[in-house]
Amino acid sequence: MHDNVAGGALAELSEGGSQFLTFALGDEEFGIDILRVQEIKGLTHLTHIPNMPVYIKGVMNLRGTVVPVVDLRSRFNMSAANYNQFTVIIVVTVGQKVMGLVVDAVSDVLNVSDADIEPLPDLGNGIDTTFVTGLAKSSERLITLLDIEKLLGSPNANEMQLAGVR
Amino acid sequence: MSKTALVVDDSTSMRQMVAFTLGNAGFDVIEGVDGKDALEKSSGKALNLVVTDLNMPNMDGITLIKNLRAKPEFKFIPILMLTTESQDSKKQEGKSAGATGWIVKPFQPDQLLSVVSRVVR
Amino acid sequence: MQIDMSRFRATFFEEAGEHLERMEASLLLIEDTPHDTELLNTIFRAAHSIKGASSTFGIDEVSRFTHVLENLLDRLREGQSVVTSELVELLLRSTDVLSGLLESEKSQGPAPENLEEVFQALHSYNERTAEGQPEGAPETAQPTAADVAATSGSRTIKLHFQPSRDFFRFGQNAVMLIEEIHRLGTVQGSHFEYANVPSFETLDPEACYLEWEFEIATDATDSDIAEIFMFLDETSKYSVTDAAPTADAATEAAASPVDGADGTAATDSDTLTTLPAETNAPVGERRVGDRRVEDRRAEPSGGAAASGSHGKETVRVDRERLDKLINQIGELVIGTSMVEQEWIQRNFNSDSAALVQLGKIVRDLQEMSLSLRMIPVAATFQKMARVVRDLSRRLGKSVRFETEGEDTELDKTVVDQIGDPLLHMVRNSIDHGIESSEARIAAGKPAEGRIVLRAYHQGGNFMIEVEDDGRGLDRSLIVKRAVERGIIESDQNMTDEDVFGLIFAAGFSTAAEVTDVSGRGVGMDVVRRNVEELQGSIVVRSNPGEGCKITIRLPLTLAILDGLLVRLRDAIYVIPLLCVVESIRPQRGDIKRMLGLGEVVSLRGEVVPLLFLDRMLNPEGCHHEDDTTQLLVIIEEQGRKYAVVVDELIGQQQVVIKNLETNFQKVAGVAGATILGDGRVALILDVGGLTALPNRNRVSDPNSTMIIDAEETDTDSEPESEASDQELLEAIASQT
Repeated sequence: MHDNVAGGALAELSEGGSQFLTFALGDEEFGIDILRVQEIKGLTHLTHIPNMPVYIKGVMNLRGTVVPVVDLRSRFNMSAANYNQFTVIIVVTVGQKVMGLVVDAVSDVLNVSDADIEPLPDLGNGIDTTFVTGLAKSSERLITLLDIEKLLGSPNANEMQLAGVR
Repeated sequence: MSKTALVVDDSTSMRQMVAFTLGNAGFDVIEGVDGKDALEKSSGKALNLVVTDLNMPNMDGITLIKNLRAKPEFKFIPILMLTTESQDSKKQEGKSAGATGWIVKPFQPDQLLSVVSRVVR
Repeated sequence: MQIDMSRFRATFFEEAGEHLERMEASLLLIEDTPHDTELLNTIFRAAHSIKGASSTFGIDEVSRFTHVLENLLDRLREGQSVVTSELVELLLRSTDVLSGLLESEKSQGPAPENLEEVFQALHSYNERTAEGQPEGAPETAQPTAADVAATSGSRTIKLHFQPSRDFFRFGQNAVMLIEEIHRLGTVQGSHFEYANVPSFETLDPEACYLEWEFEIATDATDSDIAEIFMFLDETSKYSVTDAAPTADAATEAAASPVDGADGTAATDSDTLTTLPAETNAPVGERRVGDRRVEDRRAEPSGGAAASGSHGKETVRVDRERLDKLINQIGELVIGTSMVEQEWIQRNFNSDSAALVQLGKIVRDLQEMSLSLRMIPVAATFQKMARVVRDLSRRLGKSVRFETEGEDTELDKTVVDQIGDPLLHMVRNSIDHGIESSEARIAAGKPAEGRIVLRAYHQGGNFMIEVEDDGRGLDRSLIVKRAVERGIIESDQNMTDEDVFGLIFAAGFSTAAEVTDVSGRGVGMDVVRRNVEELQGSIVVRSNPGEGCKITIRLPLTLAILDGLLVRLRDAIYVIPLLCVVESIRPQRGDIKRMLGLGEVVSLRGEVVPLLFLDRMLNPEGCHHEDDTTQLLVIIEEQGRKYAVVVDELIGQQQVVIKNLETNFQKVAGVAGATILGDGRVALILDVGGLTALPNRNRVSDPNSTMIIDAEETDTDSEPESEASDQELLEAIASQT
C-alpha cells in the first residue's frame, strides 16, 4: 500500500537538498535518505535468529529473499512498543545488503534543503549520535536525520553486531 | 540488401572479434565453433562470405571448405581462411580445397575488412 | 573503422585458461602414450589458439612465449621430436609460466620469475632439435631481385590475366579483380579475349573461359601487382611485361609469366611469408595425420582431454544470472506448494488434477534448472594428476595415478570447493601412504604405488574416493598419538572407522617426521571442515599393509537439501536428513542428568547427549521443562550421536537453501534458511556447528556430583542400574 511513496515523491526533488522518508518512534520523528529506501511493507512473520543482539528481530521472507529485520526502538534503547496495524517495516539497502527496519509508523517524504539541516546539539537522551547526520526543521517539526550506513553497519555485515555491542 | 557472413573459429575471442568486425561492417553474422557446427548452421542459409579458422576440433577448416564447396549453394561464394605464418602449407591445401583467400593472424579489424573488400562487393 | 580490441580481452583470458587446462591434462596423459596423435594435436591446438588470439589482441609477451612453444609442439606433432619425460616436464613448466603470464597480463602484475628461463629452455630445445631440419619459415620474405629492380619509377606494363576454368569455384570474382587492376594506374588499353569460349552445347556454365590483357601506366611494383592476385588459384595465370619502360627502370623486369600459387610465393608482400621448398614435403603426411585424427574424433571415446568441451555446443552464462534463474524457480516451487495447500484447505482436502500436473511440471523444471549448474569433476581430477606427478617426483616415489568417473557431474559450487580437500588427501596418500619402492618390494608389493581418484553417484549423493595401495593406517599408532595429543582418552568402544576418523582431528599427524609436503597435520583437519561445510561426510577404511580408502559423500547440489522439518514450540527448524539416524519417544527414566554433561539418553546401551535447541539457540528465553512429552531426533555428527529435543516431527521435505550471509551474516549453529510453503522463513540447522556451541546442556549446579535420574520420584535406585550408570559414565568419558 505504501509501495509508491518513494517513487511518487522523487519527482518533486528540490535543488540543493535531499529527500527523507520520515517515520515515528514513540514521540520522536526520524528521517532516512529516500534513496536508501527500497519499499515499505506491513509487518510480516519474523523468524527468530539465535544469539543475536535483541534489536535483531529476526529474518523475514521478502519475495524469496531472506532479509534481516532490525527493531529501531530496540536499537535506540527505547521502550518496546507493541506491534500493531500501523507498525511497518521499511526495507532499505545498505551497501549490497537489504534489511528491514521496524518503526511505529511512516509519516511522509520531506524535502529538506541543506540550509535547513542543523548539526546535532548534545542531546544526552540516550541516542548514540554517531549515526545522526543532523536535525531537520520543517515548520513545527524537528526531525532527526539518520545515517543508515553508520546505523546498520557498513556493507560488511559483521560490523552490525559490533555496532550493537557498542 | 543485407549480407550474411559465416564466421568459424573454435577460439571464442577470435570468433567474437571477427564477428563483431563484420557485424560493424554491415554483415549479419552466423557463428560456428568448429567445422561441424558451421556446416550444420549454414545449412539452408544464403551466405555472402565465409571466414574460417583452419585448426579446429571435430572438423577442421579445410574439410569445412570442401564440404561447403560440395553444396551447390556455396559453390561460388568467397571463403577466407584464417591462417598463421607457420601454416603456409595449409594455405595451399586450403586453396586446393576451394578457399578464395586467406588472412594471416595476427590481424587488425581493418586488415580483415580490407581483405574482405577484395572478395565481397 | 576503429574497433576497441580490449573488449575481447576478457574472453581471451577466459578461453586461454581453458586451453591451458586442456593442455596440461593432455601433457599428463602423453607421457604414457607418447605417440597419441590426438593428444599431440590437442596440445598443439591449445598453444596455437592462444598464440593466434594473443597476437591479435596485442598481448605480446604471451604471443612471444607461445610462439616458441608452438614451434616445439609442431615438431612433436610432425614426429621431428619425440616425447620424453624431460620434455613433458619442460612443457608442464611452460604451462605454469603461461598461466602466470596470463595472470600478470590480466592484473598488470609482474611477469612470472622463471619466464625467461623457460623461454630460453624452449628456444634452445628448438635449436637443438632443428639441426638438419629446415628452420621454420623466415619471418618476412626477402624481396627478390625483380622486386628491387621494379620498385623505382613509373612505367607502362602489359598485364595479362588468364583465370583458370575453375576460377569461379574458388569464390573468385573477376569483376572485382579487374576493378583492382584499374586502380593500379591509368589503363591505356585493354583487350578482352573470349576465343576460348566453347560452343553452347559443350559450354560449362560454371567454368571461366575468358582472358584479359591491360596496358597500364603505373607506379606499382611487381609485388603490388602480386598482391592483387595473391588469392589466385594454382592454375590461373597472370603475367607482367614491360610495355614501354620509362626512365631507368627498364632493366630485367622481364616478361615473367607467373602462375598463381608460385606467384604469391615468389613475390609475397609483408603480411605474407614465403615457404621454403622443403617444407612442402611433409604436406602429404600432415594431411594423412589430420585425417586419421578426424576419424578418431568421430568416435565417442577419447581421454579426459577430449571429453568436456568438444562435441557439445555450449553457451556461456553469467553465474549470477544463472543463480537468479535457479533461485526464481525455487520460488516458483514454494509458490506452487502454497497454492496447493490453500486449495486443499478450501476444497476439503480434494485434489485438483490441474494442480497436481502443475506441481509436477514445476518440480521437473526445478530439477532441470539445478542440472544447469552441474559440471563434471574432470578438471579437478586433472589438477590432482599434476600434483601426483610433481609430488611423487619430489619425494622420489614411483606412483601411478588413475582416475575413474571424471565425467561424474556435481554442482559447480561444490566442485569449486572440493579442490582443496582433495589436494590434501592426495598429498597425504603420496606422502604418508605410498611407501618407497624398496619398502614396497620388501613387502611383496609392486614397486610402483597406485593412487585412484574415483567419483560416482550413489543414492542422490556424490561420492568421491581417494584410494591408495600404500602402508595403510596403523590403528595403534593413531590411538597412541590421539591420546598423546589429548584428542581421546582411550580407544575403548571405538570402531576402526572411528579411530581412522581421528586423522581428521585438529592437530593430528602420524608422520614420523613432519614433511613440508603434507604440512603439520593441519591439512586433514581442513579437509573435514570443508567437507562439513558442504554438508558432506567422510569415511576412512584401511587395512594395514594393503592401503587406505577415504570416501567423501557430498550432496549433489548446495541449492536444495533433503531436510527433516521439526517444530520446537512455535519455531520450525530443518535438520539435514543426512545426519538424521532415527527419532524416538523416550520413556520415563531414559533421560538422565550427568555432571558436566547435562542430560543424556540411553539408546540401546549407548549414551547420547541431549541437545536443547531453545537453550542453545535462545539462551535467554524460557525453556521447556516437561521432558516426557518430547520427541528426540537422533543425529550423528563426526561419528557421535546427539539427541535433538523437539516437540513435533513435521515431515521430510526438499528445501531450497537460502544463504543468510546474502543480506545478513553467518550465524553459529545455523547453516542457512529456507522458505516454507506458508511463506515463513525456517532455519536450517548446522549440526556440526550446533554441537560445537558452548553450554549445550550442562547442569548449572556445580555441587552436584551424583548421577541423578531425571525422573526424581524414582529414588530407589537398584544395584544394576547403578552399575549401568557407571558404565555410562565411562562410555561418556571416552567419548569426550
